Amino acid sequence: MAINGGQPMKVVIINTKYVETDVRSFKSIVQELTGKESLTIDNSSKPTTRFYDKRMNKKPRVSSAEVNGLVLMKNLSFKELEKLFKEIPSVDNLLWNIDGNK
Amino acid sequence: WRSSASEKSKLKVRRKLREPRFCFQTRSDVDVLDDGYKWRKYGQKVVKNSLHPRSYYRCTHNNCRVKKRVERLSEDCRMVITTYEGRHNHTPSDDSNSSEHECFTSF
Repeated sequence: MAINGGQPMKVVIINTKYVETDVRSFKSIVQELTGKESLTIDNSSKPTTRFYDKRMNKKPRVSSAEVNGLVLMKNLSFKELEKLFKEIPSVDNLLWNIDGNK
Repeated sequence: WRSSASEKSKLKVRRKLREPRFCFQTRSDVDVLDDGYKWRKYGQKVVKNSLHPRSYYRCTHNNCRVKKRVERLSEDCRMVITTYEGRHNHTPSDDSNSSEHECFTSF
């Protein structure tokens, strides 16, 4: 492994989650994932990550499919989405690391 | 950005954890979909192996560092790929989610 003149090797970790949406639900899902954290969902001081998994299939009205690790969700209202998020266990310390200043 | 150094034998490795990204794939004629926030375009570049350029946007709210990029899928030009990086420190501009409005103190 080449070391450039004794400089430490820099490893940049980029975690990307893939989401398929339609135009109708785009706005609410974007705000859910990138907006300010709602305290009703998460009470800890650290923001938690949420990801889609196969449990989306529980709701018959909502159609979902999983292809190559991508989960497609359709016909989700904002309230349904919030409810589903509450059922998913939170996975912290994996993606978010916002201690200190950006 | 904060970086931490972990030493592995003689090799020092600096790990840099970027804010997670959310990559949205949406079937849309419109390139820039309304997400309730206001954006300012700051760049555009040609994407390798694609006919479609990629545009870069920044959230215009004070002190908000959220960025997004918009491009069309080369394999299926009906699809728009919108990739968000970061979290907003404010509520959306259109006030549709005013139920989440709260004071956010820094931790």
